[in-house]
Amino acid sequence: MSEALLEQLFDSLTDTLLMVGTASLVALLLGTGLGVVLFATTERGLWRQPAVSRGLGAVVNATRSTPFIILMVAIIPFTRLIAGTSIGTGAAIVPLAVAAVPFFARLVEAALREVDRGLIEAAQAMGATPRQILWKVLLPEALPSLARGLTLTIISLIGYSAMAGAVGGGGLGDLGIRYGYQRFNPTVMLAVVAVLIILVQLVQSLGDFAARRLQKK
Amino acid sequence: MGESAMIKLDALGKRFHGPSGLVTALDDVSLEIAEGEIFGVIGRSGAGKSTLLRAINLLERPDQGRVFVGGVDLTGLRSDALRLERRRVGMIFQHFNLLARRSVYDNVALPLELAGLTRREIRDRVRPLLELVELADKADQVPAKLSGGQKQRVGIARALAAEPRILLSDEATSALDPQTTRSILGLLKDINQRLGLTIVLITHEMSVVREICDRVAVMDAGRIVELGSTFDVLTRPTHPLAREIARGLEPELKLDHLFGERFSEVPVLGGTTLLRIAFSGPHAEAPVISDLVRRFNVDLNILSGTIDHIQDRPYGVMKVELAGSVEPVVAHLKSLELGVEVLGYVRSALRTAL
Ligand SMILES: Nc1ncnc2c1ncn2[C@@H]1O[C@H](COP(=O)(O)OP(=O)(O)O)[C@@H](O)[C@H]1O
Ligand SMILES: [Mg+2]
Repeated sequence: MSEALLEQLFDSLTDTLLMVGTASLVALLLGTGLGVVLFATTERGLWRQPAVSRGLGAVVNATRSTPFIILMVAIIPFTRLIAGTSIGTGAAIVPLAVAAVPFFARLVEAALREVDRGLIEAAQAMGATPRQILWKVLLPEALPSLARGLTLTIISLIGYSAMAGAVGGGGLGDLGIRYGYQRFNPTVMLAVVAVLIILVQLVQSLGDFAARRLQKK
Repeated sequence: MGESAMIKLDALGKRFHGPSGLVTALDDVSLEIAEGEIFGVIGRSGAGKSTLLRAINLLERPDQGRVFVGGVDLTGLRSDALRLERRRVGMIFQHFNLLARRSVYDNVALPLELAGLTRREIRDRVRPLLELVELADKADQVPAKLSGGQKQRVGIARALAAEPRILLSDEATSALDPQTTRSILGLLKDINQRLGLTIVLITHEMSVVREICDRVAVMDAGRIVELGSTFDVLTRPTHPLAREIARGLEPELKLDHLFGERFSEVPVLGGTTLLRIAFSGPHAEAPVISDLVRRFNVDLNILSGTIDHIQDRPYGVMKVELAGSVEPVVAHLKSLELGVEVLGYVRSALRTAL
């Protein structure tokens, strides 16, 4: 492998990490919020708002059922509005985040649902406010599941980011397609695949470790 | 009671939409529980016990009626005022409901954190509570490392943290073995006496009621069908369900197995009579049986007998086979205020053989 190739590989990896990292951060912040709202507004939730619950649920489902490659194209005007352009690594972050937020939100909602209702009841019996129940009971108890959900989200984002790369987003996907596919350079292709595998493995291992640590407390 | 009732439930009604239509969980339930009392609610599964208990701190808001705790009408409170009142009512649960990711110490501290106490104030409260439930050495463990009985002790310490006047217990010993159940009930009794705490506990086990309750209500299909002192309800139940539950404590004696073909539901000529005699009241400890034999010149064959103490009063049940004239014996026993019941009749062995 040439030094130039290594350098390119390194640059692409940096781009991928930037895209995935930023989108994950956005998903963590907005997705957690959205997930809490989805959980709490249901018929039997802490802040009963069935209309809100149904409305948000529909939007989330619509986003999640659109294939990423189509979503990316469909929201180009929105991407331009946010990033000022629709091409490049910065611009690719927008559709990645748009896909990741509802994805993680559903995982957050599921993680909160997993928390034993008896704990909510015990807290209510202690005179806890809904906000206290959320911060003192639900989120802390769901932490291991939330860590696993975030791991899954990051790994999915790594896959999506490769797709984003293919349409001008830069990163490892872009490198793989340009050199490996269009220029028939299997070395580059293999190197890209190897880096992606290592990256996913690394994220998975870190995520598992974190979840285990949180489980044990 | 009246004025001094710690808990007053006034004509509570609650219905649920179940899978097979409307379910009446509470049907016009009124009840007063005095300060310092240990009050039991017993009934079959689905009788409405949990709904009744959860109405006391309005975790379940009744459709009808009013709930007074310490003279305050909880049903009339706004949600923030209600939350403040709830701090004065502790609750323990069948499955403990401890936070898995908090240590024993932090579980007990939770109600105090919610109430906004400082770390120091919390420590000063939690330490003695852990001593009280004998878990001081487990303060830093997570609940998963504890036995069922220890978990319930944490639950009790947590329920007491905010210094409540009332403790609600929803089948708190139902997931525990008999020995652990006894130790938890002992702890509750101890707390009741030391702190003057009013305890309302629901259970489907009469043995739990017998062990610690001062008074008991029997529930069936959302109604209270019998209410009285534990001794009275156990020894002189009037409602069929109360009777069935009370009898559940006696050793089972399958008469038709014992006597086979010879057992009869109706009187038989020349046969014997099976009697159940309940000893309670002033003559509970008198030598009744030997007196009967002498006085009426009858033969008595004792089939089973138990002596128990309920609320520190002796209570015995004896099942006997009586050969001779029955009426005077029954009349005499009744005059002694003993419970008598004819269980059946037995044909003489000789006759069957012929
Ligand atoms: N949240 C609920 N939704 C629907 N039905 C309920 C609900 N809670 C209780 N019930 C019904 O009300 C009745 C009484 O329940 P419960 O008070 O839990 O009885 P118990 O504690 O005596 O077993 C049962 O038939 C039960 O199915
Ligand atoms: Mg119940």
